[in-house]
Amino acid sequence: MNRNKSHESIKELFNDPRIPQEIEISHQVMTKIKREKERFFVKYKVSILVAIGLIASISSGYAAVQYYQLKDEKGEVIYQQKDISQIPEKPKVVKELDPETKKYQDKRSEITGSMEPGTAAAVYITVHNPNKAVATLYKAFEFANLADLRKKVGDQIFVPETLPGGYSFEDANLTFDIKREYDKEALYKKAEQEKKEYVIQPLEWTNKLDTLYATYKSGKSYINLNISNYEDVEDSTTYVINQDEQQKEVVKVGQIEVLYTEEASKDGIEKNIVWVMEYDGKNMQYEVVTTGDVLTKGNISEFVNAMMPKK
Amino acid sequence: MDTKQIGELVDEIIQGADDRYAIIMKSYQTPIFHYCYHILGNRCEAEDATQEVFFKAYRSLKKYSPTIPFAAWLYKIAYHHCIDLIRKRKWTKLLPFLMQDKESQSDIERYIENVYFSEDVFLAMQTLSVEERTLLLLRGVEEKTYEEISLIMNKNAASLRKKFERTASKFRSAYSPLGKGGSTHDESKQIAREY
Repeated sequence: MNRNKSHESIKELFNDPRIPQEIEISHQVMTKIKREKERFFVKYKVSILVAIGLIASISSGYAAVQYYQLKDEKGEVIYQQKDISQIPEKPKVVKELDPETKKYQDKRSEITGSMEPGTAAAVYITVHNPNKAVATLYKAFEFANLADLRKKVGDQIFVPETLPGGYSFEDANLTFDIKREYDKEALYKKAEQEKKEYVIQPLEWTNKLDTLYATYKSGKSYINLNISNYEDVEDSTTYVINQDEQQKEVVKVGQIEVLYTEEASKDGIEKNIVWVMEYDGKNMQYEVVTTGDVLTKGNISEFVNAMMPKK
Repeated sequence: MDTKQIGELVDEIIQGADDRYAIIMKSYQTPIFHYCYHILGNRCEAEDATQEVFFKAYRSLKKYSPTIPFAAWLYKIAYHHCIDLIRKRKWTKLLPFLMQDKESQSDIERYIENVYFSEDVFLAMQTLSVEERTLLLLRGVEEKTYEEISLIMNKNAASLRKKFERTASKFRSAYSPLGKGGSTHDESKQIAREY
């Protein structure tokens, strides 16, 4: 090549027709952006039953394709239970969080721990948060007194004073839906001005009950009663971990179908019953969890009836 | 797109209209890809790098200030991204063209065109640093002003002007269409030194 060639030849050289003329990457980038956002924001309510303790590793080997359905008197499916391997959007399972994400999660827990019971807030954590995510954190209402709890829930659900086997109300945690109305930009500005590790915008609860976790006690033994709003649950489906390690049976109590489960654990046989029933015009999921003989296939009806207010 | 349009789009995206980011990508993906393609000398790597550049740009969108043209800001991200990539490479990966003779000639040709369009240009570019390659492309090919290039490379415009002439000469000396299949001993020593 002639050393005296003008710059024009450099331009021509790099405009060779063999060079790929077009490229289209916008779709891949948008997908990656969306996936990053979803890590911190749940799009729809996915109901997952978690065993007490840490989430066990989700085995990719044997996948239980069995599923259980509960129907109402019209024959419509009002509750389904499937193994977690059937979940449509597979959660990303990591053995260990990367250090930054772990620090972010630890900070979240620290803030939640310091919140007053019965409060909710939009929280922008300035550290370990490259995506500038805003988290909705809350601390449930706490009750040690049944009268106060009943006053708070009003007519939305009936909370019994006792459960079969001589168990009495001990305490409860309660949450309502949260009004997620926060101003992201205002939070970012506040963070810049205050230069703190995190900034908060308090949020209001709605009147709509989300979940009640109640404990009933007899001597040293406990029963957990959980009642939650099942109206918005995607496909009315709950996903459980290691479903194949549980024994299940659908039992009918009058018109109500109840799913009875037994699972062996180091503390004995863990038992639970779950059913969906309409109360105050809404589908509510009821769950009773205990260990030992207080709950059997034979006395399920006593527990279901205990949830109906005495007329 | 003019400055006002870009400014409005960026504001909308920051407010939450993520889907509008696709408009920005469609406007700039080809020039950014061409830049990465020539710097990296590899089509696949350039496609991946282009995606990464736009992803990084999205995440930094709030930091963008209209004091620098948006295109220059994108090129700056691409420039630094390519520097990082090349730093991480081992030099043996950079020589797709030094093939064994037992490969069939047409296989090599097809492979070369899928990776980078010209063996000779590739080898000549390898004699330049990433900074020199960038200057050659932005001034010699895209004909950007020295003022804009100084924003992208964070260097003084006057010194870039001087450097460009030296870089263009260096490139022209190194560029020597050798015919198919190999390079001179001196050139491969030079490449080895680079990495």
